Amino acid sequence: MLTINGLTAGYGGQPVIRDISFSVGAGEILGLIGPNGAGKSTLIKAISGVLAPFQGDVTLAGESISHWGVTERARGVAVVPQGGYLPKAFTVSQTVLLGRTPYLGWLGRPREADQQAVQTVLAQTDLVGLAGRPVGELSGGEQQRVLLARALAQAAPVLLLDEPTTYLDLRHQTDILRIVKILAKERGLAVLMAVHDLNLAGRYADRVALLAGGEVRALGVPGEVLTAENLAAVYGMEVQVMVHPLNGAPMVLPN
Amino acid sequence: MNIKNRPYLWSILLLMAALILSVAIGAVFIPPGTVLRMLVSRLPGVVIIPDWAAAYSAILFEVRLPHALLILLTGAALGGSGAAYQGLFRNPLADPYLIGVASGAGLGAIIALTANWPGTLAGWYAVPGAAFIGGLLTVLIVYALAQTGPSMPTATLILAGVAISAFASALTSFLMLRSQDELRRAIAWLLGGSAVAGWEPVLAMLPYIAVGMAGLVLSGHALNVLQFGEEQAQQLGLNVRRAKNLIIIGASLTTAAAVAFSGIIGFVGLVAPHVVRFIWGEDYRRLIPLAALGGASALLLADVLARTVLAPQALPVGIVTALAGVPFFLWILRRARRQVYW
Repeated sequence: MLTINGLTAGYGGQPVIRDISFSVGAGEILGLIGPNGAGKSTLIKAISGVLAPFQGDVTLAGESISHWGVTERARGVAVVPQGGYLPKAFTVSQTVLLGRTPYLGWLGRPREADQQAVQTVLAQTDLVGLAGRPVGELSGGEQQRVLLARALAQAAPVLLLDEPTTYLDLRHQTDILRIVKILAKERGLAVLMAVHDLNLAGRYADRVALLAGGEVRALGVPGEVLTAENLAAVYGMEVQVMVHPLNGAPMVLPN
Repeated sequence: MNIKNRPYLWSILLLMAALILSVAIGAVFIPPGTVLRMLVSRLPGVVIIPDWAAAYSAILFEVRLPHALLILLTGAALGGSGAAYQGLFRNPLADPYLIGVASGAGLGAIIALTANWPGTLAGWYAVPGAAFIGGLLTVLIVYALAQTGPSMPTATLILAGVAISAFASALTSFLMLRSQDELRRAIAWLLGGSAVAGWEPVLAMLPYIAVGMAGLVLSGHALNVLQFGEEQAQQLGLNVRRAKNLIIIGASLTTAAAVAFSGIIGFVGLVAPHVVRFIWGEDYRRLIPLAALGGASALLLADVLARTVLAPQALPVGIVTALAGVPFFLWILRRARRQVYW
């Protein structure tokens, strides 16, 4: 579904990510892990188009999106940004409706289909009861669900999430990722998700890409990538990798 | 009839009431009922036998009505552009006056005025043009200074505005001192005491306001999307550059028109959008037109006060808006710290 070919991008002429290539299939969640400064956010920005790549190409179902306009791109790729800033005065449903921007036209007048899409997404993200509340009154976990709902309202086949679980407690981390997992399967979304928490990546990603120094160091199913050797090399510290007793996911513990 | 469900109806009713009050009150009081009948009598196809003093006609149609319409357009321009600047800067305290755009436009206008005080209709069009350029440059500078991330911190924004204002005011004073003949008139004008009268300025102002406001009203949805910050707005599919250009040009045009014809009037652009937000919520598609209607009503009422408090002497309306607006500004500043809604 989403294919990245030799992508090099950065700021002020200095590349942060170099020659990145991989693809994410429909219904698949690819976890993007790596230490701070590895280039996870840069990669997500380059794919979403807010950062123009120096080299390389991003294709969606075989078609290069590099020259798509903003509207087309927003229909193809939706983003849950890191620390996603949300205006506090908008209500939840107003915010989610703004996710329909690529379909609304300049004046932003919603059609029946747009209202329908918003209702569906609110139900899927468990926000129906909060629809009329101003976003500023919600908890951090609820606000994160609003960001996810807004991205889902874009109805794009590709979903990029940049640290969707930062600042969330255990329960809310799990809630968000469970919703992402279910919807990825249901809607056949190609999901690329940057996460710091290696255990969450091991538990929820179908495959994991380990990024360091702007390059992909390892790519594969969590059990193959999350090994003591790989992690020691990238994070510069010794770790133990165990197996979750219930679901068999790899678990990483520092020594 | 719930006020929350009929925003336009209530805003227009308030504006009509303010307009009739404004033209009724003056050295000679014309009863509002008479004002209404006089206005209706001018409509095509309506015949009303005049039962009012002949002098009323001249007072109403040659003095008070053009004055009131100038005030109305100025208030609408300040309210609408205030709402647009608040959206563009993503900050509730942005106002054409506080962010320095009014001073920048004022400097532009003063440059045009000292070069050649306009005595002709063509001259009336040159002043707002110069004010527009001054205002536009100011917004661009303040925007570049205040931009630090998805939200624009109040401190940076206001400080940038203060700095630009001080600079523009210094240049304005310098220019005024060099051209002493116009000094008194220019000072009165700067204080927001629309020193001009008659239909000419109203007609000259109208196209600027119409074009500028049209641009702003059409940008309501873009302003909503911009509230997420430029990066998210682009990821949501908004053409950010086009939206910002449209908003900056529209808001600067309307501000420039207001400043060029009525001088620098503060706080209307701050108060009107906030009252609208408070009653009808945050949606820029409605906020822009409603803030324009509210700003028009507010400035008409402020002008009535300015003309009656020390009658027969009329105060510059900018004094009244500052006296009423500063406490409101301080209240918002306090609220902004603890209220979730910002």
